[in-house]
Amino acid sequence: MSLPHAPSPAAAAPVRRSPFRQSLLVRLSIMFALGGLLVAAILVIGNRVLEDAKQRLENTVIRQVQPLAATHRLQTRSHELRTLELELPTVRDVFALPQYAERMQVEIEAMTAELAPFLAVLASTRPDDARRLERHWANYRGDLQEVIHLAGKMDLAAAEAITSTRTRTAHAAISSILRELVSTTEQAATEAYRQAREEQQRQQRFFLMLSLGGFLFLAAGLVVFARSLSRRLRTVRDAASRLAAGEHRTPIAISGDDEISDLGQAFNAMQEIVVSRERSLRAAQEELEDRVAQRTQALATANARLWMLSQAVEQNPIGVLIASADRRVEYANAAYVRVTGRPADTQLASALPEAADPERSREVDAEFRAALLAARDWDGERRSRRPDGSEYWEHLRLVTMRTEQGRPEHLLLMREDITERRTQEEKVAYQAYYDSLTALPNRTLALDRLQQATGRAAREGTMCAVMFIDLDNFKQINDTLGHVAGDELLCQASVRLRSVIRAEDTVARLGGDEFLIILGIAQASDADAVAAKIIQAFTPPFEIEGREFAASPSIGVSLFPDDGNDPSVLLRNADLAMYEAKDAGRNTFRFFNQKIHDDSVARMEMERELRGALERGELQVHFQPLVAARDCRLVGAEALLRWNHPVLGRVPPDRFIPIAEQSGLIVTIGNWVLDEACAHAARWREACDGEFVIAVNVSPRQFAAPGLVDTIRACVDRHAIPRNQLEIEVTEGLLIRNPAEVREAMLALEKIGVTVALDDFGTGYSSLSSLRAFPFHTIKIDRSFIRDLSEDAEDCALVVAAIRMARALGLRVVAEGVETEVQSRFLAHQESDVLQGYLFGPPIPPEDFVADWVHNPIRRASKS
Amino acid sequence: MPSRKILVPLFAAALCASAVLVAPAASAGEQAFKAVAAVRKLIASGEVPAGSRLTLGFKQGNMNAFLGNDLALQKEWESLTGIVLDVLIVPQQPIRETLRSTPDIDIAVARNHEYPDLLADGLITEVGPFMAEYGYRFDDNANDGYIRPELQSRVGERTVAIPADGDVVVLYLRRDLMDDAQEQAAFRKAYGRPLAVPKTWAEYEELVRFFHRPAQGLYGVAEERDEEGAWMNWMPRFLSSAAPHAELFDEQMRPRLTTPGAVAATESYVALVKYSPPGITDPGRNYNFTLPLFAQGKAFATMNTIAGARMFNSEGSTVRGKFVAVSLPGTRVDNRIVRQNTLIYGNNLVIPKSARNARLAFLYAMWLTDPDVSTRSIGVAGGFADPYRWNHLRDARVRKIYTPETLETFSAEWAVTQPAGTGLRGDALYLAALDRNLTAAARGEIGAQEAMSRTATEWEQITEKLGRAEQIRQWAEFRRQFGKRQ
Repeated sequence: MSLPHAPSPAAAAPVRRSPFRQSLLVRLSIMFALGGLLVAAILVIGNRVLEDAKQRLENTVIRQVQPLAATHRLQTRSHELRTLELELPTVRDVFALPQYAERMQVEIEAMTAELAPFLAVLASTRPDDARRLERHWANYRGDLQEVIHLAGKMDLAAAEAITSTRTRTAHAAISSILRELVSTTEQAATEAYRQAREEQQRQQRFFLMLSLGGFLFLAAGLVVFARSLSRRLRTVRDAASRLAAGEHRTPIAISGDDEISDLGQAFNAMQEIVVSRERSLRAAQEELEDRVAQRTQALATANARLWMLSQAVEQNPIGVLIASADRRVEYANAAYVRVTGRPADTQLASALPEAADPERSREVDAEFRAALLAARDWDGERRSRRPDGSEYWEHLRLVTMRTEQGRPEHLLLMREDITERRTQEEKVAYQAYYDSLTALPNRTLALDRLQQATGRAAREGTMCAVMFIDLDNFKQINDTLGHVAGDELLCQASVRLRSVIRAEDTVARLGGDEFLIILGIAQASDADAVAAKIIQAFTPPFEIEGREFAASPSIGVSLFPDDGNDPSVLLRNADLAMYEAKDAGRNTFRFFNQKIHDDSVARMEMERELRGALERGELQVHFQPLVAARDCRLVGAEALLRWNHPVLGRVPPDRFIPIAEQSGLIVTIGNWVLDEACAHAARWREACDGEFVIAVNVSPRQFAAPGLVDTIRACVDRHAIPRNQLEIEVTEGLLIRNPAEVREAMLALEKIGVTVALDDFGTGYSSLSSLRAFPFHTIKIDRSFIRDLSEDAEDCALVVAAIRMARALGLRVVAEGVETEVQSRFLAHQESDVLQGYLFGPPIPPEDFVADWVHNPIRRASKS
Repeated sequence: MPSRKILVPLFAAALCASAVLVAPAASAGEQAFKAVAAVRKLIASGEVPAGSRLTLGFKQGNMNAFLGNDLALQKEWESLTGIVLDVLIVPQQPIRETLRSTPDIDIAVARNHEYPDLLADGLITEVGPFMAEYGYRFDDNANDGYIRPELQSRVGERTVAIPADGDVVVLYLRRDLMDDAQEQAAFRKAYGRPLAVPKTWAEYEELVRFFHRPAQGLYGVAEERDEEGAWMNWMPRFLSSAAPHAELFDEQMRPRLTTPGAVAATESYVALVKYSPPGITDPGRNYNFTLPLFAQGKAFATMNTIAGARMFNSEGSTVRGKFVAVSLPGTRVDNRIVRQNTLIYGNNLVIPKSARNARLAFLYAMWLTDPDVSTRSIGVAGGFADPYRWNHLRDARVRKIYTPETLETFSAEWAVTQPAGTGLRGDALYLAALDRNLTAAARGEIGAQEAMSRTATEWEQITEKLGRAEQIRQWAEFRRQFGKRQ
């Protein structure tokens, strides 16, 4: 590589300049300075001329306008005074008079002050008018002062007399003089203004002529200077053109001593350098050719590497297809054919081959097509079908290979068979969302479907119904026949549920024997019909292990949007309604309503209060006497739970005991009642000659809880209760739910000397078989039959029959709710053993029971 | 030993007088400063645009009092806040009519007795919430507090107006005639007692009768007997007819107008007509007729607010330096004299419900009634507004306008002053019936007993029409507030 040709010493040498040379800058500066001075001179002279003309005009105007303005002010003040004096007598409120008087006084003083200088000036030009005006103002002012004085005395009538006569004349005279003055002044002003305008126009013409002469002189100087510059610059331009065309490269002749002569010298030096550079370029071309040879060798090495990489692609298990930017297929490896089951096309189509599920693949296909057409990267998964009909999941990846400038050059399409992985994923997903036993959607999927259903209903303005279904007899079947049978029942139930709904509705299993149905409906009655169909579908017995079983559903229904917008709220409300259906006797359905919700809230509130009631000492055990029917002698007492809440007051047992049972609190509370009752009975027994039966109610929930018998046994031992003096009272409902366990518990109690009474006899099933199947010792005839004994022959017959039946079974009979002597005598006559009721006494606190009964066990009803 | 009922008003009067004479100068201006700061804050926050207009609905005579001499107060407010005051002169009529017909007013003046009707008709807004928001209260301290603000600001438990006037009634007599030795001798000869300021309405009537000399251009009295507002001159007579004070209704809202005391009050009201100038009962013969007569020396006595002194003491007045303002007479009950006064006109500030700038209006009222600003507004010539703060009574300008003696009488009268009107919803109806029948009696068309009977009957009808139960409730509330005060 050769060095650039150095400029010749002559070209590079600095030019020696005369210290006094006339450079272009100097000459131009001098010219513009002279021009500026000329313009400034013209402007100064013009400004002075115009200012003089303007000042003369203004002086003329001011001299004429000032008297006019002063006259106008006087007119205005005069009119203002006239207005005030005329208004003053019409003031309707005497308290406003001082305001007017004050304003008039202020105006008079202002007018006087204004008039004095005016009159002084007027006297010099129009002395007669000045004297007239002064005289009339003096009269007017005197009248006005009198009006003000009268206003002060509140003599408005006198004031009005003046304003309508004297002041009127005075004001008119003043106004007339002022009008004359205005007219005269206006005429003089007009003439003076005309003369001032003419003088101003003369001055303007002079200024225009002066300006024109100055500008012509300046233009001539500029033209001469410009022609000189242009000629010398053309010489340099022609030499440059020749250099560019490669002609005649001799230096140009230089004249003068300014920037243009400098330019000519610089051009000559540049021309010399250009010739030198041409020689250097030729040497550089030879060097470039050597480098091309070296690069060709490097390219061959790169090709070898490329072959190696193509082999790697060839052997890759992922199908690889490479197409040019215009989608012409340039390469496809063997795996591509293997995965797709077909040879690669010559052109990469914008549509993928046939999908196994065109509906579900539509979106993926569209994305692929869009990415391909836009030449951007993309990947997605799709279920495809090979030409032989086999289906497979494939992962597609489209990559656009670009040049360094970012222009698409090739398209790379990779297709991988992922069938095995997808199969695994689907299996996992199914297990997450479906119940494995019934193949119904599970709780998670059900809530998702419910969310979708409410969203759809909200958008479309329709409704949807949520049905919470619980199988009434499931636990019994499950416990009796085992889990296999229970599972079979659930499967059959799910089939029946599916059979009564449409394909687009959902049946789900929430767990246990709870199912959920989600229906899209147009009106509430649609849900009514479906619920009825479900009840109907469960009417035929279920056949399990060759035996027939009845299983009925209890259905709670909530509606969107009436009963809530949130799926969890709808589910909760349907659940509450289901419990309502249960309470209504099962095998039925109930719609959620506000009362259910309110009851639920009230129940929860009461349950919350009840939780600490025992610790706070709000619970009490009261005792109602049990007397022998034959002689009304005290034979025992029934322990009854009472709750005295500090705010709610005395809470009725029928309100809080069901809540205690539902919440399970009854177990703790019941044990406490049992202990309290036994403790008191132990203390009273001695006073009652050792015979005192204490009856304690035990709820089904207590029976269901483990350890009841042990608890009772411990209580009997702790308080040394003799045999047959502790009686546990149960209701028939207990027998129905867990008959085997209950019977076993009753037998265990019998062993430890605790008797069992069937409470509320007559209100439930009252089946003889129950009395026979369970080891009862006593039946208690419900108060509802006793109450109507004297009036209702049917009740008489039932009571007599019950007593007879009990006698036949060797059971003791207790009649509850005895309130009259007639009832007492009738029951004694029918050989009832024990009587209980308000005739003998209400449930009372233990201290009262001691005073009323323990110390006086032989009482007649009449004494109570 | 004097009873407690006598000592209480005496003690109150002494307290008021001592507040006037002894209290140190008020640290005035804080209230105005707070109001201006609040307005600036509203403007800075963009809640109120700068240069907003506040429309004031004032009567002709209010201009000087509320805007100052030469609009000085208006200019000061506009300069401090940038809020422009746009004054609308409203006609001399009940403010209820004005507010109904002119919805653009932001603040207006109302008479004390008009509040219950304005509130019931939904024409004014409560100012209590604004007061709470801006820490403004009707302080009644003896230094610069309001004089009995409860009488002028409330309807039941609700605060509806900002006091800006103090219209208790005083009796004006010609002192020059009273002091004349010949007149004193003649009076003693005629009535057997010295010529002195009357203690009872009966003595007042005798005094008026004595000086009634129409042939000499002197009438005995120039009390208003115009139908509109007749109750104002009757009410003090009625209130003082029983101890501690007579009441218009019993607990069941049955009118107590036919009692001997009420009839006697009416007779006293009617009796003065024959000592009055001719045409005194003609329509429209209100204070614009009576006050000039007294000011021109053509009447011996008149009754009006303290604003009368402002007029009688002016430069053009014939009676300047010749009159005296004294406490109202009373009635002898159980061997003691019961004196009662009442608020009458009143130019207090209310904010219409339709106000577009209620908050600004309140802040303007807060500024205007500041101890310092209000003293400047009272201390101007002309205008309706009279002193309503204790510091007003000490101000030299105010004392010059009203005379110190009149201000002392005025301050003492507050101790025996009762609220204006009935204090009930339907006040306008009740008072219109009373005015009509009083005027009929004054014109001699019916007797005093008949006037009271007719009024009682009409009041019963009004009560039934408005709903007796609600009226009973309101009356009970009114009595709880003011019934046991004396």
